[in-house]
Amino acid sequence: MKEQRLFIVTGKGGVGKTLTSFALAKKLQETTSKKVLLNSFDQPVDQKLAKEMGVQVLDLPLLDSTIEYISRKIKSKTLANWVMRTSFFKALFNMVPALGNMITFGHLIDLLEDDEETIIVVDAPSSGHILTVLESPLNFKQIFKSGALVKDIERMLKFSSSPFIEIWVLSIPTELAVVEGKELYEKIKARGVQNVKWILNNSFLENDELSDEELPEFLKEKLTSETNITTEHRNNFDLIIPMHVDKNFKNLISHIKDKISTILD
Amino acid sequence: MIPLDKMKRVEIFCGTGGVGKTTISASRALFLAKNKKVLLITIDPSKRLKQVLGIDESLSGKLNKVELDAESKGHLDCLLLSPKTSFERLIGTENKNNIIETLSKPYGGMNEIAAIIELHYWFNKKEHDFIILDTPPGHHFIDFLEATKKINAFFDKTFADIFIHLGKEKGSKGIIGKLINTGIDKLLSLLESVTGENFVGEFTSAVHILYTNREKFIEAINIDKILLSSENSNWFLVSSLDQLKSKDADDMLHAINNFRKGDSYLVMNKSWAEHLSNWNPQSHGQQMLKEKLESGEREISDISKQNNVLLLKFPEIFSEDPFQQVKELISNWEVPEVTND
Repeated sequence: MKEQRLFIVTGKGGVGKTLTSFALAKKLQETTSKKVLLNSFDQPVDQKLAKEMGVQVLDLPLLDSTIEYISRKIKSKTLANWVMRTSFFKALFNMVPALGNMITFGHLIDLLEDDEETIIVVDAPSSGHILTVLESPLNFKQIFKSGALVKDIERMLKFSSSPFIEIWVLSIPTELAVVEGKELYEKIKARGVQNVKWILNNSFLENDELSDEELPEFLKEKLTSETNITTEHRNNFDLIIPMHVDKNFKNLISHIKDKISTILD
Repeated sequence: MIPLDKMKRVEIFCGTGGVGKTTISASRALFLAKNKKVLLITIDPSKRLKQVLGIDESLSGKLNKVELDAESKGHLDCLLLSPKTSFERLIGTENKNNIIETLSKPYGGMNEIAAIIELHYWFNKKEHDFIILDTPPGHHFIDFLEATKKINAFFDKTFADIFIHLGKEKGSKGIIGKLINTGIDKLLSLLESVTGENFVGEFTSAVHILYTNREKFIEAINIDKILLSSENSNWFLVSSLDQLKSKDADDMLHAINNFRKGDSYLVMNKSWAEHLSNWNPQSHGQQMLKEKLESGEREISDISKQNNVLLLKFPEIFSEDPFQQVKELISNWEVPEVTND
């Protein structure tokens, strides 16, 4: 079995990150004996969908997460609570979201190190956000320079470039999503992340559910445009997931789940 | 599409990521630039606008003149945000503080603050007839507006007084009471135990710089009054049919209900309405697809009807060239009537 413990699903808005992370969590549940948790950084996961899908959620609201994280660092929950609830501190955190991003990231790593039997799948916010997360430890290292926090930041940087982390960059076949996906893929690689995969989701070209009847003119145009956009990148995608016509989220998740097996082993 | 008497000096485009905010706002800017002087500000960290409008990223923080076609008699400037530039102009000097420098990097997370500073600056400069703002993709439609509240909270007068004082001389008697009330002393001594004294010094100096410029920040964020008044601004909530998530509809409703009434628009991007009405598929697969596409269109139009928000439809453009896409969308702004059916 693979050694990946933290999977991050990212990409431009609307490329199917949420459904894909649910599918990935389900797939990992079925194929490993480990406990699989689904997280969305400091944002809450869709509880209703998670319940329906039987996926265990890991919510890390920023304030709670920070208190817990800082308690670990200073080894006192009381003191952490006391300081973190002060008005200045709350205002500072709101003002500098990168600080919160870094703490959430650190918290995720702590949880993975504490329990080796856990895998975490992260449904990450849009592209810019994941770069902020990966860049924050570097930035704060420069800010703190030395001391206990820097040791911790070094641990984060080490984790980012370890085989334990895998990032999936999702694109759909539109020009902007493909260009942004490629750029993001390269930037994440440049940050030293070893396992990065580029996935084309919702591909009309690979769809075979509509072939019983000739396509209307506007769908033919859509198809041509998709061909032009994706042709030069086809060999760079680690996986292409065909479009599936369905309004039901559960069915869509199970459709994606069936397709991702090939890149998981 | 927007009647003349509803034109405002500031137009804000917001929405979740990937809905085509950048493309739609660029098309709006190009449309207005046909005979007006327009400024387009983008805070999208992926800087896609450079691709859409052919602008050089190295010029971020400055006004870039966009080459317009021969028919356009107006003028279009485009500003790619650079938090560092915005910040240094506001404090009026080069920044030498390491912490501020680091956080002002492109992915340092200060884009929203920079956007507010720029909006305030250019609004008051009155060089442009219209300012179009393309906001960063938030979790929610009005995330951007929260930014001013966050900045305001940070610049709370109590904190400011203390840090301005700390910058002068550490630990004077008169401020002890305030220190204890706000918890700043706890924070600082805690920080010292984990980060070393060096950081605390730099941190105090960073906050000192911010707080000595407090009035300027407070003045800049007062722009939110302009943003909130329908007298000066139009808001566009952009949604896209090719990626309507169940949560989006709720978010949209929430945003509209919690927002000021009047002169907000719901933009439906990538609408296939004109194609769908003439399509009569026979096979099961295609019938399913038609049904799925139609229900998406219906969902958005219902939201606009129920909430009395005007709906603007933009068709999907089948072109691979983003610049071409924008151009084709420009003509959509000319459609005379505002649809709400």
